[in-house]
Amino acid sequence: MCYHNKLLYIIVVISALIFIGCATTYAPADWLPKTEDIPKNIYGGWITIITETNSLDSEDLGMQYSGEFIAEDSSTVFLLYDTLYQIPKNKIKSSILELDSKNATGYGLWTAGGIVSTISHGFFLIISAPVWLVTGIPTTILESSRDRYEAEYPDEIYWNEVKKFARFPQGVDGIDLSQLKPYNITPE
Amino acid sequence: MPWFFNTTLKKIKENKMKFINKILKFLPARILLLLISVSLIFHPNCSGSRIERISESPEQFNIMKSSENLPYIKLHMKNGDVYVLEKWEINSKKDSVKGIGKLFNPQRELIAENNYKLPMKEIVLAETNQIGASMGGALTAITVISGIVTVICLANPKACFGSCPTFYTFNGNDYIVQAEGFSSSILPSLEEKDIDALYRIKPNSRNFSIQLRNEAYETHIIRSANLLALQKSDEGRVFSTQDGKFLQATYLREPNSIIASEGDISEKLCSFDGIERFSVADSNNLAERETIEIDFQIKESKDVGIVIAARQTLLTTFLFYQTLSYLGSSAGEWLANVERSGTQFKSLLENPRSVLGNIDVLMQNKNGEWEKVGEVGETGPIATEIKIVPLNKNMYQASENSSAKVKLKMAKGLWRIDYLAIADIGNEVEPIIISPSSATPSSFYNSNVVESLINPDSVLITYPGNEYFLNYILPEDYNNYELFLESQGYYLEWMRNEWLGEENPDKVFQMLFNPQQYYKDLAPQFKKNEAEMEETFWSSKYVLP
Repeated sequence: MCYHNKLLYIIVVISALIFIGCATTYAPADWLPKTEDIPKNIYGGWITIITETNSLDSEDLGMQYSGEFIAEDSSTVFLLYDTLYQIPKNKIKSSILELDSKNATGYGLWTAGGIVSTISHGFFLIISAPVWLVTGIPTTILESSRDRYEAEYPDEIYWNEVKKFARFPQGVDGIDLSQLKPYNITPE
Repeated sequence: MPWFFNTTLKKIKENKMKFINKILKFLPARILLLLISVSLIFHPNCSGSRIERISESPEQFNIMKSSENLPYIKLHMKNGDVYVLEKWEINSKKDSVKGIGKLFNPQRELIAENNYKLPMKEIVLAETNQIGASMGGALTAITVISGIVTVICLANPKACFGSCPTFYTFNGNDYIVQAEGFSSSILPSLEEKDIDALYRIKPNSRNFSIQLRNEAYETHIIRSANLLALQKSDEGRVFSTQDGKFLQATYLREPNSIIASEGDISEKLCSFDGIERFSVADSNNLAERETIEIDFQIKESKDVGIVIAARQTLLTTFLFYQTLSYLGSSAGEWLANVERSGTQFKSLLENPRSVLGNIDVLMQNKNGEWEKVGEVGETGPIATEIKIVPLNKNMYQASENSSAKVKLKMAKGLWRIDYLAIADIGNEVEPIIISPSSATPSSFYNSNVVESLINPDSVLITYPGNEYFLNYILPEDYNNYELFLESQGYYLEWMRNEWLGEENPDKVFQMLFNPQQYYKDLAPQFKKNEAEMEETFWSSKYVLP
């Protein structure tokens, strides 16, 4: 294998390693607020719920619901996408709640750029490139996965922990849910 | 281009590729394993958090006012409305909250923007958020450090990397650098023998090993690497002189005083311990001289000598790399000319070297004039070399006092002196030459390492990253011998891209024919880098003195 092919191979493997560990986001592009805007954000987080398969119906593979986390009560999770969805808690197989947009791609590219820049370090590259890698990979992975609440068969402890990130953390009693509007992404 | 240089370049290129391939081969296996481990450790399930949300009923809400970390409060009402207030404050009775902000309905449409004062009892839930530090902090820190290294290496490539063939020996704890071989032999025609004292090493058995390393972008061609064993006198040591003699010496003692421009430096030079005396180069002339005055006691009419342990600063490294920069893309042509021209060109190369000079030892003659009686000095900033200069007995006997004076004269900022002593000189001794008996690894490119070093017609060729252990068998009474390493060979410096931007043949001619002016012209450039050079040099390579 020639030098350039090997270098390319290493860059691809390193890039893959950086991004394999990263958590996937389910929210539409630009839907989630920047972290710094969270304190004044008036919407709920983006929740993705996968329901259980119906054991009596072999063709039922379960459903995936994604949308703004509106509220939860003792038996139901309320989620707003094009309309309001009410999902029974006992049907939920997994739940993922995301609060803000992440800068993982930026950090990944930053790390890759840093690694490339060590070419200028000559022999010292043998030390500086791995330092970049052992700093950059964890930073990128941690960035992608922070402030993300994920659970299989979520229990009440989970819902108690995440309900403060709903649009209505106080619950939906006394609120006219029929008038709710989803958050529209407006171009900046 | 002459045949020699063509083939050498080709070989260098081939071996550079081999070296890079070796590194690349190493990287995926070990580094990728490390990275996979790191990735697994930091799997998404081990997530952290930047957003801390405090959401409580008004009675339980304990934060009383906004702060830099908690600028906003969100007040959730029973009907789904939400107030987002900044500059907020809860009154002391905890029955109302006031602030400036916006009111949104359950559809999250903006209803009003105002100064609000809300009774706590109308609020169902109060919420505030604190945002933690960005994960980018670690990357910012590493970027700054990495950037500094990049800037230093790009701005000052002459301070990075360089070294000569380095030899390490075991001092009981670790392998320490003891010698750098033939530092000024930068071409085949400049091949020479180099003798370095293994002064700080005490062998503990007849089996003695030396580790030979190539730690720079250089090709090292080593013809021989022999140990020289020299019989010591009782309680004495053996030192080499600049002209290659070996002298027994006893009764090593400190001089009365050693005075440099900054004052008495005796304390720094009283032992061979790595604490060095050095000065900075002159701002206008790199060849400008300085003087150190040594006063010592005369006890008997014995032959005495002055023992000096010193190594060069990075001034010569800078000058060498700067010259290669001036040679630029025509470096090959110039160096091939040196090879072709026999002694003519080589004598020209002596010009710049002699202007900088070594450490000259001077004594006063009977007319009171200072006269050179000897010199010490070896090219290279890595290994500290120790040598003896015999003093002229007639001159110090001529002194009326019980003490005598010696002066050291040298270029400012060129030498780092570690140790200085006066010793009684004994007999001249002849060395027992010990060739390596085995090596690990034992072969290189299908050649036997030991055979290559023993046979004067063959050489051991090393490339960056190569390491060999050379094993020797010492005489039975090895404790009675002083050991020296005698290496012979030359090395080829690899040109670097950073050096190609300053090609200037006029400066090369100036260096050869008018080195005095060359050193004056280069002084400002060197002074700009002098302060950081040492640190940059050692941080860019693995070898430490």
